[in-house]
Amino acid sequence: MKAIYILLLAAVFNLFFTACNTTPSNKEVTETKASAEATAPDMGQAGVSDDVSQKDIVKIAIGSKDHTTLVAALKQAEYVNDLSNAGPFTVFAPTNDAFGKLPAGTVDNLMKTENKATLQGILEYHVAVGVYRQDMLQEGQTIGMANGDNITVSIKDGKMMIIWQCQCHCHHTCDKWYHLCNRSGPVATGQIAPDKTRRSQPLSAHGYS
Amino acid sequence: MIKRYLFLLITVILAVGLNSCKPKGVQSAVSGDSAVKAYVAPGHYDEFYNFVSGGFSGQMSVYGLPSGRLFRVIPVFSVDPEKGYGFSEETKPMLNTSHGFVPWDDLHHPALSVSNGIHDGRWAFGNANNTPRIARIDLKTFRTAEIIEIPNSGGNHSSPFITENSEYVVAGTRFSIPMGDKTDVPINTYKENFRGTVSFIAIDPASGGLKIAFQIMLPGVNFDLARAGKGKSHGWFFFSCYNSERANTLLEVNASQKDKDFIMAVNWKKAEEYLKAGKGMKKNVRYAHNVYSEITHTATSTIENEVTVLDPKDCPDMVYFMPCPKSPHGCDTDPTGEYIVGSGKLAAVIPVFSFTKIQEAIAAKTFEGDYEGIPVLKYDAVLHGEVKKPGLGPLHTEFDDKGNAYTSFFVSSEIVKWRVSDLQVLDRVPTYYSIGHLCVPGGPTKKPWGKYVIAYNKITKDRYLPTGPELTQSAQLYSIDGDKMKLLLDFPTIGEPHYAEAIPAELLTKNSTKIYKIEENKNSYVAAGEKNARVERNGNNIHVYMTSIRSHFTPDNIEGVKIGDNVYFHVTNLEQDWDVPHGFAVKGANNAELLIMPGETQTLLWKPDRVGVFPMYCTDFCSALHQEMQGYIRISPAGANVPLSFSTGAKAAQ
Repeated sequence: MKAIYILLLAAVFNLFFTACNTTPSNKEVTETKASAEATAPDMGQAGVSDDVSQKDIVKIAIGSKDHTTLVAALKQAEYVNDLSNAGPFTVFAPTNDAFGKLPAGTVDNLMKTENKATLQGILEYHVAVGVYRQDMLQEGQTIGMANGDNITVSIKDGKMMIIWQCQCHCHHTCDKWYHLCNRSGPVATGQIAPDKTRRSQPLSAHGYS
Repeated sequence: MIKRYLFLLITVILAVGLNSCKPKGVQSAVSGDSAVKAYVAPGHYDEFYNFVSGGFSGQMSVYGLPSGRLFRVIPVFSVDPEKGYGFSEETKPMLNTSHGFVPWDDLHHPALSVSNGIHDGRWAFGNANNTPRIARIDLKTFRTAEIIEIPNSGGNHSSPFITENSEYVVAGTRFSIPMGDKTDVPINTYKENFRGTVSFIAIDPASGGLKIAFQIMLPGVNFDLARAGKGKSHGWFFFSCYNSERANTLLEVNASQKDKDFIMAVNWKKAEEYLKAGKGMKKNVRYAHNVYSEITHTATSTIENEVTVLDPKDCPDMVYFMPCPKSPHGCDTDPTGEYIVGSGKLAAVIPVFSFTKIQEAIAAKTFEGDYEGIPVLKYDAVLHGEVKKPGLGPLHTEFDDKGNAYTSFFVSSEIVKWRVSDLQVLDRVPTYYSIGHLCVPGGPTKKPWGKYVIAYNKITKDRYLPTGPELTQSAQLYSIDGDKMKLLLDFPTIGEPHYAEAIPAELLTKNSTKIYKIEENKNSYVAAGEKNARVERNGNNIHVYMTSIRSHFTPDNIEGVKIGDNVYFHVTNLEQDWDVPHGFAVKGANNAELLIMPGETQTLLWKPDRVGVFPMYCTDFCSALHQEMQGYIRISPAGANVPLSFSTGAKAAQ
């Protein structure tokens, strides 16, 4: 019996001395394993590969020939990922035509690196977090915009206007509502239809009504 | 005194050792590059999907390998309030059986569909061990698409193993039971009255639809596990059997009397011939067959009344028994289909049978006798050889692509690698603790993907931070690239994992469904657009055709509902955007939530029990204004005159 205990004792010592004396490897994890497929981890949600879902606002704008200036501005302001988010957003999206009516050189100036914060502020004043359709709005209603300022809804003679009231050069009104939708099936209002008179166009990623 | 002193000393050493050295001991068991091999960088994908049985959770879980990350728990045989599975009107029929609605079961074994013996990535099957059923999971949606109940079965353990071209999944009863007209019998008349069956469930090659093709009526043994033949043994199926003693009590002792039980070999091609020749007997039974439609987003349950049964007495050369030592559990065929490995739980050897020798023995009628009229082949005549002294308590065997086998040992808590050709043991690694099943990616197929073996353990003890008496389950990942198995990763699993299969990720990722198209939604209560949202009364039944979209319900104010009404919330998720489900819950409902995928309609039944105004809200964080996604339903007394009304965005009363 004694022999058995000593053996057991030896085994226990062996086990734990071995365990204690073994120095854990200090080898650094210096390489990552290449997997069969990979997402694009640095791109954010704008980099999600998805040809099935309805397009988000960014993808709609990218697909619109009337919004190339806006898309360039969103990229310059680094808002592409934010607007690829689940939102929901309503973007009162200035068309190329609207940008073109600004004083000469305004857009070029805003696109300069040193004016990025100003550009961000202007773009944020055109983005509301939420889905806003005309049928949801009432006279005098305010909509809080992403920059912290409000826009105001005005209904005169049955015609709805949106009033921006900032102190900057973007002060303007909008009386044209278009909902940009790419899905099939019923939509609230029309597909994108170039209209040279409009200044802004709400891009909304909301769904059926 | 010496004994006591030694005992004390050992106790002290153990205590000190466990307290002070365990972390280092654990680290010493893994080599320096293990972390790199199991590491999947943020944003990168795993190489394999691992489909792991959820055991007594009744579900099937999906992990990534080599990371061990849990991606999804697929509800199969148990209700899942998180997903509304078994709670929504659409999914309740999935859990219908001949016993009515059964909210729980015990899923032991996944089987992935194969074409020509190789994973094809279409379906996963799972067995219900308690109330005998087989489920089919669609690997495009990772959802349970079909459940079929197995009649004439006392517990579906030997299931749902699959044939080389997914012709059949099988269902062998663990418990033999009295069947037919005479079922009210004394339990101790087991030998006289109890019978076993194995069922062959045909899989429709296009739709995956299940149909019980035939059952084979067999002596009253316990069927444990099974594998299809493949390659040269295609057309055969092998089932391990224990309790050839046919004991009905204290099986722990009474079913371990004989030196050998059986592996049963079934020539299912022959069975098909007998079936075609009209040898089958139609038997009157009752079983449920439940199918979920991705078009109506609704399950239907049909009660079927007939199966065709083949009796080996009328069908010679269809079934044979092979002696196998000591209560065989695992029964696994190698990638060539030539070798069948039996693992007797109590055996000191692993017998490996040769399909070629089985055929020769059958041709030469090398029988040692018969068992209840079924020929028993001579052990030595069908044996390729035995793995000698491999370990204690062999259970299951998987294979790699280099001619090696990996057998799990419960008692000695290890995986043993051995060569199939010469039966030599090559390597062994400990598992933590007491392994049950194990998995090599593609291990049961003609084309093992190799690379890893995963241990699914029965005992966890001190592997992770303690969580009281009930612990998570434990799995370990080992690399099998080299000559020696190397521990890479320890990861917890939902419980209890039994068998698992792993499949290369690229076979599934390209087919994965992102959304359901709203245009294709044919649910009877769909509201395909807010203009179709409405509330209708039909007697005491209120049907709310509700829509959800970021970030509101339509309607979100409902009045005119009364005590005594049954309120059906039919909620259609109008989103067409990947990973934007909406949820739905209403205060006080004796029910779960709904979790509605984009383009889908699901229905919650609520029977209001008191007067008042009840909030309802979206339960799945869907958007920046998720917290605004809410509404109210007013419940008035029975007989009240409040008219039925509904709205969204209506102005407040002046």
